Amino acid sequence: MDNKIILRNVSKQIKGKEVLSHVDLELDSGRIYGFFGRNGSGKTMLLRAIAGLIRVRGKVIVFGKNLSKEDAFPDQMGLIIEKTELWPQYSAMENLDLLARIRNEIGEEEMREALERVGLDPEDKRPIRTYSMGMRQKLALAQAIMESPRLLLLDEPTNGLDDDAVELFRKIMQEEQQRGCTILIATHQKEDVAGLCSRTFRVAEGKCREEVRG
Amino acid sequence: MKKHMAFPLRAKDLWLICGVYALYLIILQLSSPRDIGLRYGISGALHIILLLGFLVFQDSRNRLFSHEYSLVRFGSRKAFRRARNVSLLAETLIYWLPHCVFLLTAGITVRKDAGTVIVLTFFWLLDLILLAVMMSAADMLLFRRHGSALLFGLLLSLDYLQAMEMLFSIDFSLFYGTSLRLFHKGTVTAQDLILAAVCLAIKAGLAFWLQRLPEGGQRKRLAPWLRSSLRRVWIGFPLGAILALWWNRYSPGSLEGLWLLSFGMPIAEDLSGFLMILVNTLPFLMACFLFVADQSNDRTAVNILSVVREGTRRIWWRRRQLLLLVSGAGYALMILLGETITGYLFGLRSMNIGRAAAILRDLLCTKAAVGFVLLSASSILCLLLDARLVFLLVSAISMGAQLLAFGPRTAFTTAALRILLPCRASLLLHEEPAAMLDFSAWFYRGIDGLHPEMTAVYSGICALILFGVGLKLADSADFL
Repeated sequence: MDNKIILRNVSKQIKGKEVLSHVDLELDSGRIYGFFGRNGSGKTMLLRAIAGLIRVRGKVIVFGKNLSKEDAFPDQMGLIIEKTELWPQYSAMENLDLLARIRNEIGEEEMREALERVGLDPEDKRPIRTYSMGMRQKLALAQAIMESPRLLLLDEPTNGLDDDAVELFRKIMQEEQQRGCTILIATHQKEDVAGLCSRTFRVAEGKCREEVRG
Repeated sequence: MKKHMAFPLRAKDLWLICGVYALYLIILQLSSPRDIGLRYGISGALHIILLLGFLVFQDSRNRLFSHEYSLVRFGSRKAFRRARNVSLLAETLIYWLPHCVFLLTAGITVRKDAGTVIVLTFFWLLDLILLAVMMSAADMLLFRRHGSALLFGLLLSLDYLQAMEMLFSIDFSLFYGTSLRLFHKGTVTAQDLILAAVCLAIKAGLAFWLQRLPEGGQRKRLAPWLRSSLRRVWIGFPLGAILALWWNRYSPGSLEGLWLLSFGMPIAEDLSGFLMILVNTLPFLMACFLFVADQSNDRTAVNILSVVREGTRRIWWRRRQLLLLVSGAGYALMILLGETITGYLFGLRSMNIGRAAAILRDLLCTKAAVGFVLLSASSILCLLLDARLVFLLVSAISMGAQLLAFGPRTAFTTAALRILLPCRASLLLHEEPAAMLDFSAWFYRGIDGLHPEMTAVYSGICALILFGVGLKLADSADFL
């Protein structure tokens, strides 16, 4: 139980529409899972439910922590959400610094390393509002991995990335998995990440079904 | 203090605080020593500067907390709220500390009654802390850039008017008045304390309730164009209205006088008149510009468009123009309604409802028409030209035309002013002020025989012509 992510009969309605419908999942730690589906199929909502960002009917237990009961977020979680932009007026390093101060677990060295891993320059003093879409996505990935999380929830992480950056992303994911991190990736660009995943799921109309590999 | 703040103060925050207190000192030096509030370090001008600064400061601090990347790092919503509240306390104290020190020293020096002054300052600080908590909670609810600053800016603006009993003849205002009134009176009776305590309790209840509501994403959101408009209203309505009242030291007594102010027209032809134009016209134009620029800058739509057929492109363009015009008109109405309703409420205090309603109708027709034409023109121009250029152009025309009304009246200037709708009221003011005061329903009769309703029709025709010209230009221009 302490090493699993468990969803039991999870449902969510928004404006009368069921965006998550009786989802049951049991995921082991230390693996990569892919959730694929069209825009609006419910992938994002599913990740947000696991992240504790929305209140749902049913039970969400992440590594032994019952999120619905405790109104909490999973411990040691790294997250990429659709709204990738952080604080546009600050540099990449300042953005990471602001976030890192909340948990106060890492120092400048780890932040620099995270930026270098995703291919950004820690010395770049430009405010991130001048960044391209791809650079912002890389920064979002850097903030997600910088504290060596136990769980990574990534929503459309390859949006705006070029081929080289997607390749780099795959490499980082493999490194994170080897470290023992559990990774959940929701995307409509299946080809970018399918090869990485131990198990893949098809999300459609709020329902989640495992894909059987041939 | 530092260890209580989840996020450290940035250089930008410190510069803001320094800037606000530099202004504070300048106003203190310039203000009249007869001002009773000043003896305690409080006056209308000081208060506005400090509160506006505080809203900006809090808005900047709230930005750090209102991102979901921050939220999840706190571990739970409870921990997040606790950290935010502690941080809010520290931020409020840091921002208001210099002011409180002044309040205490000035108050004790003047009254030589440390107890009363300390009680007053204590209430004052509690007020501000609750305001900060409410603002932060609203920010989480809205999850929108500057959302709570706008909301509370608007609330405080209205509360300020009520504190001066300009809205209703009741000695009550929620945010602004209690502590300020206590300071102005200089003494504290049991009744004052009860009233202050009731206000504090209401605010504490509100703050608690707001913090309990689920944060953004699950709340019902407004239509995008309306959200955008509401954001801009902050620039147009409260700033213009409050600064206008403040600059002119306007005391309500004449409805027409107030509405002239809301048109950006001076009471007297001197420097304060010029300032009035600046204060009232610029925010409105700026608001129009920002709104239109916001609406026209839809690059995604343009990109999608570049791959579709030529015929579809034209249809899209026409639809988009129509959307711009409709949303622009809606937006103009919101600003103008805000201004006019303030005027109406003022007016109700000095004249009967029927008369005030008649003038309100005239003003709404005229002001909406003016706003509609301005926005139609600038939205079309913004799509064809550089948005900044259009802003400069529209500002220059509007300001120039209003200033034209001050100069010697020749046949040319009179003709020019007749064409420029925003200046028609200025023209009347300078040519036939008496006609306006006596026959406000015939507001523009002295100029060209048009009734307000006809002005609206005339403006509508102008807008249609502009729309047609814009479409024609757009069809031939290679702007996509």
